[in-house]
Parts: sequence; C-alpha cells; structure tokens
Amino acid sequence: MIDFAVVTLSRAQFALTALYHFLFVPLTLGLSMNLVIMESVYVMTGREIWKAMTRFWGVLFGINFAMGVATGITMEFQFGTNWAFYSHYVGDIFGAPLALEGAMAFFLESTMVGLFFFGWNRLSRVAHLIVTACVALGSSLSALWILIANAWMQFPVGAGFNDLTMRMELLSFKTVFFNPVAQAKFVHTVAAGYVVGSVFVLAVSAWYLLQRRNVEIARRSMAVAASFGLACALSVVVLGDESGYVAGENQKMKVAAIEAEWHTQKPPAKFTLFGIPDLKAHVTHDEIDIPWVLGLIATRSTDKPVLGIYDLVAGNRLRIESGIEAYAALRELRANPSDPALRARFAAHQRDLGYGYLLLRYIADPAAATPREIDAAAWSTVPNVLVLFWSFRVMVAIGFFLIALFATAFYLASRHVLAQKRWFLRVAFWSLPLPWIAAELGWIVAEYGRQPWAIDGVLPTFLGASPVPATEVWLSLTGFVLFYSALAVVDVFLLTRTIRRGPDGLGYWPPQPETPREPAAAAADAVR
Amino acid sequence: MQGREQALWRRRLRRELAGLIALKLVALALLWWLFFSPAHRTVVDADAAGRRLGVPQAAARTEAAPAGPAAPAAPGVTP
Repeated sequence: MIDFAVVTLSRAQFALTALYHFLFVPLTLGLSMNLVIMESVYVMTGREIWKAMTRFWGVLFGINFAMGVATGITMEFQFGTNWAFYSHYVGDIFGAPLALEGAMAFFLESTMVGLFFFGWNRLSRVAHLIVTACVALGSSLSALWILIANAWMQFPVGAGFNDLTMRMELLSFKTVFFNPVAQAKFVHTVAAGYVVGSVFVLAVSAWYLLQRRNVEIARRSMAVAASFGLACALSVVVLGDESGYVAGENQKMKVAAIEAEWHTQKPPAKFTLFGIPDLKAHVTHDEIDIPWVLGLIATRSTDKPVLGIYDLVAGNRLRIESGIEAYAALRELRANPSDPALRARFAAHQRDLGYGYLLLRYIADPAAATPREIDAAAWSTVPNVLVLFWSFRVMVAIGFFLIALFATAFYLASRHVLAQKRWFLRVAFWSLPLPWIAAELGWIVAEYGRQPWAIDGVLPTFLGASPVPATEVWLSLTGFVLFYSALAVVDVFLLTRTIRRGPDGLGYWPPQPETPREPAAAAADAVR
Repeated sequence: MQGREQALWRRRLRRELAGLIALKLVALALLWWLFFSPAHRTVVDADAAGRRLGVPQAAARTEAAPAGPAAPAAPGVTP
C-alpha cells in the first residue's frame, strides 16, 4: 500500500533542497559570464583595474560556487533514497544526462575553478582568460544536462516502455538531447541565471557608490552588468515566450492552469493580467484581460484555440479509460508475456498506461474503477491553479521591472552620471533579491505545474516514492533544513564580509605600494 | 632557528590535516550508516515495480520469461 504521508514528505524534501540549490545556481551562471566579460576587457586593454575587478568578483563567485556544489550533491542522492521506484522506472533515460553532467560539465567546471584562483601568476593572460571562459562554459554545460533530464520529465521523448523490466528504456539519445522542451528550457534558464548574476553585480556596485568606496571598480562593474544584464533580460522575455509556446504544444494543462483558463475561449484567447482564481467554483474573479495575447503566445496564431481546463479534463478522462485497458492488458501480459494477441492489445493502449496508473491513488485495481473514481482521477491532472497563476505573474512582473532597471542603468552609465544618481543607486541596491524571487517562482511554475506527474503522462509522482518509514524522511528532512539553513547563513556571512572588505580591503585595488606601476598607466586607469 | 620553526609549523599542519580528514571520514561514515546502508536501501527490480503497480509477474512465468526486446514505444512517448 502506498503511504501518502511519505510521498508528501519526500516531495517536500526534494522541493526544499531544489529551492535551496537554485539560490546558488543562477548566481554561479551569471557571475561566471560577468567574469569572462571583465577579464576579456583586461586581456584586450591590459588595464590592471579590469584584472582587479575579475579577481574581486571571482572571490564572490568562488564562495557561491562552493555552496552550490554542497547543496547539489544531496539532490542526486535523493533519487536513490526517496525515489527508488522513480529511479527504476525512468533511470535508464534520466540517469544518462545526470551522469554526463557529473562526468563532463562538473569536472570541467571544478578543475577550471581551481586554475582560475591559483593560475593568476602561473598562466599567461590569454590562457587565464580561456580558463575563465571554461568555468563559464562548464557552468552552462552543467545546466544543459540537468535541464535535458528535467525536460524529459516535462515531455518524455525518445523512450519506450518494456513490460519485462517494468521500466521506460532509452530508444534514442539524440531525441532526448534535442527535445524541444530541453532546448527552450536551457536557453531560458541560463539567460535568467545571467540576469541574476548581473543584478548581483549591479546591486553590490550600487552599494559601493552609495558608500563612495571603490568608485572606479563599481562604475565599471555597473556598466558591464547593465549592458550584459539588459541583453540577457530581454533574451529571457523572448526565450520565455518560446518556452510558453513549447508548453502550449506539449503541456496544455500547465498552460491552462497558469492562465486559469477554465473553459476554452474563442480564438485568439485573451490573457488574464489580473484575477483571483476560485478553485472551488472554477471561475476567476475580478479579471483584467488583454485580448489576443494568450492565443498569440501559446499558439502563435489567431485561429487556433488554447484548450481550457474543462476540455482538457474531458480529454484526460478518455485517456484514463484507455489507460484502464492498458493496465488490464499489462497485467495479463505480465502473466503471459509471449501471447501476441495480448501484446497487440497492450500496444494499442500503451500510450495511456500512465493515465491508468492515476487510479491507483483511489483504488487498488484500476480495472475495477467506477465512473466517480475515473472522474476524480481526471480532475487530479489539474495542478494548483492559484499557485501557478500568481507565481507566473509575479515572475513576469519582476522580469519587466528588471528590464527597466538595466535599461536605466545602461542609459545612466552611457551618460557617465551613474554615481550622481543616488536615487537610482538605492533602487538598484534594494532590487537585489528580486531576480532570485523570479527564478524560484519560475521553478515553481515549471515543476509544480507538472503535477500530478513525475514524468508527464507516464508516471504519477505518488508512484515514484520509496516505501521508507515516514520517521526516516522526517529525520533527513529536518537534517537538511538545519544543514542547509546553516549553509545559507555561512554563505550570506562570507559574501557580506567579502563585500564589506571590498576590492580595497582585499588589496586588489588600488594597487598596493609593493607592486609598483607605471605612473602613466595609473593615471590612465584613474581617468578611464 | 627558522628551520626549527618551519618544521614545527609543518608538523602542526600535518596534525590538523590528519584530524580534519579523520573528522570528514567519521561524518561520511555516519551519513552512510544513517541513510545509505543496506538497511535503508530500497531495492527495486522488475518484480518489485510490478508489485508496486499491482501487476506482479506470475511465478512460473518469471523463470521462463524470455528477455525479449522492449515493447513498441508508446505513440505519445516516442517521436
């Protein structure tokens, strides 16, 4: 019998560790690219101040990188400990990108991080820049493999079910790699990470300018963050639109839930800017709508409908009925695997087997399900509309605010008046938490919106959990909360201590007396 | 004098490193014992998955079942 308390606890544990981990990942992605830009300027111009900038932001990158690694490792362990059935059922596909992430990206990234910190006086300028670029490449490659694995959970392609091994098996790695959801998710997530890193540089630099400390470095850092951040923030919108279109093609229920679209509208569908979804009455109160926008985003046409929740539930009801046939055929096939007639019957309904599994939440034998249980299972395919609706809107609002922030910073930086606009510096500083909030909300939209599926249409989440005692999950969950909270405190402490010391306190800039510089070069740096 | 100080420093460094590594090993062993030892491991194979999903394989057939190819992929799953 499935213990749903254990399922809930296991889900809570994974969600919590993922949310913690995702505090560090986007900053690692974003800071590494900012480092590449700063060091490229150093290599091209030879100006020492750009090297000092790279070294200073590199220290902050290093602290964050270490925390990201520490919080990421435990997530992979959980697949074996808390999600043993999930690992068996889809490990043949899911394991490959995870292993590649470890073997390729992580080793590349970790090795190059070491060279980045200890190679300043041992490598040539160009060689060190290549190392820094490899750190950024490794970070992005890590994200690529993880997102390929994650995208397969959202849109499972390139795999088939084997009734003898009772699991999904890889048929085409190429198809898994080029999964359209993976491509859209990768570019969207990585660009969002670049925005996080840019806001971090912008906010910390704004603080220095408000303090009138490290002005030379802060001004240049803000200019880099503003230009790179603006390009990335605009890309996030474009790539987010692509993600929305891909989801509109492959995860229609998620899109309907995000939009609280209870009934199919006449195309092109309107976009609800504001509203209060009522989960009991299945209506949205106090709607403020923008005509056409949802239809254009989700279908890129004016005549294709965006299916509403009621229509999608009706379609899922039919798939559950087909899934019951698949389940019954599978049961007989398991007893008599060489019967070709049974195999043909199973093959006819196999694509809906996952929908048949949904009934195991309500009844031990799905073949004996009543219409009431089928109806309950069909409605269980609707994720939490209220959470998705508002998570998405807050994420998008923050995204547009950040575009305005970067655009303003870019304008002021190009006019060389950044340091004088103290109101803007305050806004930039207090904007620091916003990209993290947006990134976490984006994760909630993607993963909470996938429910009730662990693998969309293939494996319900509740069937993936390990049958471990609830007390054990409580124990590990408590341990994780305490350990991760301690890590977060240490991370914030180390980052704030390093920021407070600053490039001047760390001895990076201005140059120390024992490192004599050409007077002309120093003067040139001061005015640039 | 300087050589003697350096030797002392090295000895202390070695002692601290050895202590840290020992502490790390103890922490790892504790983690393994608490969460990953065989007593905590859920072994899942085809039979266990079948039982979980309510589609156990008949005992006689389990032994005779040929290791056939994967069933045709589901239309919704394969491209």
